[in-house]
Amino acid sequence: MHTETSAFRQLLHRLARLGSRLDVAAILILAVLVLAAVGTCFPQRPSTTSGDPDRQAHWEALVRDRYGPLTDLLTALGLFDWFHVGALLGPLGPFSPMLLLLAATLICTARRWKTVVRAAISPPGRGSIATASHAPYTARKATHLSLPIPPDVLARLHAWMKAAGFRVHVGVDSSTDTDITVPVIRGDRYRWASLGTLFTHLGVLLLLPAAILTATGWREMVTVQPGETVTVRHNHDVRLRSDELTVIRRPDGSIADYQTQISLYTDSDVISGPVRLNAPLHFAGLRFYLHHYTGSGQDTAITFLVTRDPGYSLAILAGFLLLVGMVSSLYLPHTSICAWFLPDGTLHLAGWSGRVGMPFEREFEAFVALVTDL
Amino acid sequence: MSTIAYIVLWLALAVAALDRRYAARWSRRVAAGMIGCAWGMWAILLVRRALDAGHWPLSTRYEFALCWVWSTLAIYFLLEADRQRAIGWATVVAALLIATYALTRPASERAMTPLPPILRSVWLQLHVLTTVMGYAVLGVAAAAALAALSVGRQSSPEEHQATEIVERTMERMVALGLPWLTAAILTGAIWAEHAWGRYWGWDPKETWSLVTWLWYLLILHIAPLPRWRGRPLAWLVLAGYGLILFTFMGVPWLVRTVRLESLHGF
Repeated sequence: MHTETSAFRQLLHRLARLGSRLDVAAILILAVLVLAAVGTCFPQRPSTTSGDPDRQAHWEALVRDRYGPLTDLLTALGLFDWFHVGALLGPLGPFSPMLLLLAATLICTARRWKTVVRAAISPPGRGSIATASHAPYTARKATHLSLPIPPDVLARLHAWMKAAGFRVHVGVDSSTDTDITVPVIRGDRYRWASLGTLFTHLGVLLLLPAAILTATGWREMVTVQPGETVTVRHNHDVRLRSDELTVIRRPDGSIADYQTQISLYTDSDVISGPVRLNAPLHFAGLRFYLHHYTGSGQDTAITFLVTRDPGYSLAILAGFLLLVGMVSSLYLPHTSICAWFLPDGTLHLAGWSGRVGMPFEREFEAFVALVTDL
Repeated sequence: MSTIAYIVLWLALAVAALDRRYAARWSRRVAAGMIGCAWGMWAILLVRRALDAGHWPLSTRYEFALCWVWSTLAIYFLLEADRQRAIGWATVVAALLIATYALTRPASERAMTPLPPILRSVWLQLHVLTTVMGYAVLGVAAAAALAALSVGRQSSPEEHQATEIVERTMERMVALGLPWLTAAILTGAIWAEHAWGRYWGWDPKETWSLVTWLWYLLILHIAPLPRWRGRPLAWLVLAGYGLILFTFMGVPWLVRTVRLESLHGF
């Protein structure tokens, strides 16, 4: 029993390691990408055909005319309904690349969050002189300085680092083999930016519940004559009345904008307000969009699109998390600088920068130049 | 005016190619000056278009392409021109591709039209602006990739060092460009919700924007892996620009050919 538990744990551990590998993530991203692209190579069944046998039959006739004997095979593969079932679940069900990618993101986040949070809250202490030569940016400069370091030299370095936005810490590094402790000045900047990766991964993960919530929503068209009150089919509690339509025209006669005044009622509530293109009216968890109008004057019939989308806010939140995470980790990378003062007067300098988004070379060169002038 | 700006862009390419060959201080100055001159011409073209149309020149495919050319040159100037001689000619090649596409549009697409009511939204303006910025930054990344690939495998140590700098620039540009693509999809989703009542509809344009975004996300994941560094990564970045070009120029063709439904005008 114990051996079985241990083997199961080992398997889980291996799966976790596999899920957080960059090359595995890259393969899954590629698979999702290919699946998405495949869906654009075939006409997709319009949502307006559902529940309308005539439209359904017409659409199928068009497809059959185009693809002939292959139609049944392509239909069976779900290629005409690709983005309803195909891209999300695909023929592989829970092992579809999209779900596997989300699982890999979850595993990667679970494995890394402690390290990332620790890095974000820890004091500047990155690197020791023993490991400095492995830093991406290194330099050694001979100076006339001798220990202890003159306060004005430290003050200059301190001021430069502060001006560049670094958090500065002056201390000693005793990680050398010698008996002498080595004075070191360390600086780090944007340490919280490492949290950006977590934000990005969280954003990706939130997209799935957002999509599921959106799938529980609905859309319907409601056509209203002036002065008429119509009940929304999906929500019988809500009634809609359109009062008037205003068409704003340019001097050349073309339409610049149009809007209508509508009133919305439930048994306990009523609101009234304008609806324009790009500016829907929100009421009772529903959105009312001005879709189009036909006729003119008293014969004008205005068609509204009424939607309920419980996943929208979550999807937008996910998008903002993705954006904030990317900007912080790619534009404001966690950056560290260290300068060790060796007993023979040599200054050993090292720099690290989290991501390649912003150039750090120049800043490090400026730091080295400052040290050279000491 | 557009023809003159186009000719100046070709001249800039010729001078930048000379600079690549001679690598002298004078050739660098002349090349930078010529590219700057081309950028100025496209700026004037855009301002005139905006004044004549009475709105931001971002409402048609043609106007978007003009902005794309201008932004590509601007990004090059802002971020790289003072230290990256090697990618100047390639940036002009990337800009010329778009400029050629813009100037070969039929007259109906180039005509100035009043802004349709559906396009009057701050979210749409943000969507188009972030898209053009992302495309421009990734255009410079593609230019760096092209420059890196144009150096032979058996290069001298100096050339090898220069290529490494170009490759770093390429990676940096990808990292800078991806957040702009993310912002473009996000603002586009918000506008789609305001205009069409849904934030995502698997419209071919939306799907190919996602494909492009995923491609650059893949590059970011692959970049730290040692065996993908250098030329393989440069090929991927170049292919990414191919995807961008397809999303912009090829998707309308795909929509017509496969008879897909699309709400996107451009």
